Amino acid sequence: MIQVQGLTKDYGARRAIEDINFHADKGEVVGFLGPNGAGKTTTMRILTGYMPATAGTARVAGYDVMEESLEVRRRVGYLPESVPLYNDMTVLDYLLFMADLHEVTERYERAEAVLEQVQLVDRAETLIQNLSKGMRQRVGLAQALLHEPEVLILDEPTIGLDPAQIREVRALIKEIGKERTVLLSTHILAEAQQMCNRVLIINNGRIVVEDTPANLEAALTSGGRLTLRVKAKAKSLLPVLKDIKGVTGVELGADNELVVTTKAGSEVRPEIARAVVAQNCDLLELRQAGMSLEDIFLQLTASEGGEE
Amino acid sequence: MRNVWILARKEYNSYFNSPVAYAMAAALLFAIGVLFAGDVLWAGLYPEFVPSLDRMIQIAVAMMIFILPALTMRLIADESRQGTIELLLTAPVNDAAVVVGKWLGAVLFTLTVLATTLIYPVMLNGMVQPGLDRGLLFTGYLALTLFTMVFTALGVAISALFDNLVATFIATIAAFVMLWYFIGLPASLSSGLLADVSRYMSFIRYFESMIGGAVELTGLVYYLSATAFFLIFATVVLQSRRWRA
Ligand SMILES: Nc1ncnc2c1ncn2[C@@H]1O[C@H](COP(=O)(O)OP(=O)(O)OP(=O)(O)O)[C@@H](O)[C@H]1O
Ligand SMILES: [Mg+2]
Repeated sequence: MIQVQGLTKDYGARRAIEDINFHADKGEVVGFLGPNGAGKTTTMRILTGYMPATAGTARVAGYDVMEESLEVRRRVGYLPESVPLYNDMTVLDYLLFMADLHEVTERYERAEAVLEQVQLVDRAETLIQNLSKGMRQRVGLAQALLHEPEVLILDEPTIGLDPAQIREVRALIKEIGKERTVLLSTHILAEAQQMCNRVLIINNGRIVVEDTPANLEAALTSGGRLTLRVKAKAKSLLPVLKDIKGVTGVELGADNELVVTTKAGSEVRPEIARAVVAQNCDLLELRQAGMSLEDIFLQLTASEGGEE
Repeated sequence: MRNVWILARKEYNSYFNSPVAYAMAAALLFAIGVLFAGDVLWAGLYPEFVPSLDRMIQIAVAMMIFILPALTMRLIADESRQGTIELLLTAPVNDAAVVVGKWLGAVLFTLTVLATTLIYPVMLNGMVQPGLDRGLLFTGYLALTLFTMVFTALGVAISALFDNLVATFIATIAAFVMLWYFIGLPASLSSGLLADVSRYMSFIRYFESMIGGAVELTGLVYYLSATAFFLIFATVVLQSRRWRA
């Protein structure tokens, strides 16, 4: 349903996203998780045909987003991040207008149905400028659902909602995701875990991790993993490394590689380097495998704290 | 086409929700009304003075140079400012339909306002003998309609260039004044190629012969192609927004 290959976007000299690759299938809710400025909105705007990419290709609902933009736009429901709405219209008029543009045949029935879904039936005649922030958010969501699109792209769908509404909207998205394809973005790890079948973590314009929420959680709680490679005699390092504080396990791999697991939050790399040198082994590589994930999450939770 | 109509209808309706639009309509009616009352008064004092339609239409068009920008400035600039342009550019509507729909909505609204000024010619009709020349009435309002079509198209294009309403308003008035008053200047100041070109490109010249009752085919073609040109230009500007976004 969504296939993205090598997507890159430059704003002038600034590269917003670089070589993004992923796919999302029917019946899947995929979460885009990343800190501010990571490139979530940029990617979504390309997928919805709002702006072209600098390089790479993307197909949505079987059509190329650049070559067959109108076909894509017919099949996508989009909730933009800023939730733009026409303030001088009533909720119902707005939905009827958008339904017209999307060639919805039974527009009154559909408008009523989506208002039901987002629990705004009693606000149908209210001017949009008189709605609260959370209500606006739900009108935006209703608009995205209006034409029963195959693919839903929701940029931070639950931001600004009260806890009860967050629960409702999450349940709604999960339900919709059973038969359609949903791509949503969020800063909140817990939200991604609740709603998504798969999570893409994006940072500095690149996808750094792609996994199921369950696996991510496992990786998080089990601390970090380091890979180091030496020129020779890797086996002789085993006992020394095990003695370093913060190291929970050492495994010998092929090709003089060692995989060291560490306690969450401990920094053992300097110690390891010193130990290797003391043993007269030539250190070729010392690479962090699981820890960077945690670093990203730290950034994420930091930005979440400042928001709500 | 369907989408053009949907967008035009929305634009047309939203003018009726905006106080600015009412103020503009009132200003137009008031200015013409003052002129009209003056003429009637004058005619009462000096029986040889006959109130005429073309003065009224000239007042109307001079007012429109400043009123139309207030109506067209928001068409695209306001959507950019509010972010709602993202809704339109991700809806299954091509960019040309967005431009033409907005243009049509604004033209229809302006024509509605202009239609209310028909009250003055109708009153005038009862005051002059043997009544108003129907032909002149028709060509006069045809001229106003063509003027509205061209200048609204230019207004849409300028509105697509900016995100800021004040900037759009000022730029639009400047462009209107240039196009209306200055294009024809070389024709009256000199002779030669420049003067000929300027005469052909002078909107005001065709306009004046039209309200005088002479509808030239070149004039009609010129007004219609200028409208098309500005609408295409507006579409290109809107498309380039996607690249600039
Ligand atoms: N219109 C634009 N012009 C120039 N740079 C932009 C524009 N939009 C985004 N950027 C830059 O592109 C990068 C990615 O921005 P983007 O909005 O995609 O991030 P995001 O992941 O959606 O962030 P957030 O969580 O804050 O919504 C940022 O560095 C941002 O400054
Ligand atoms: Mg964003």
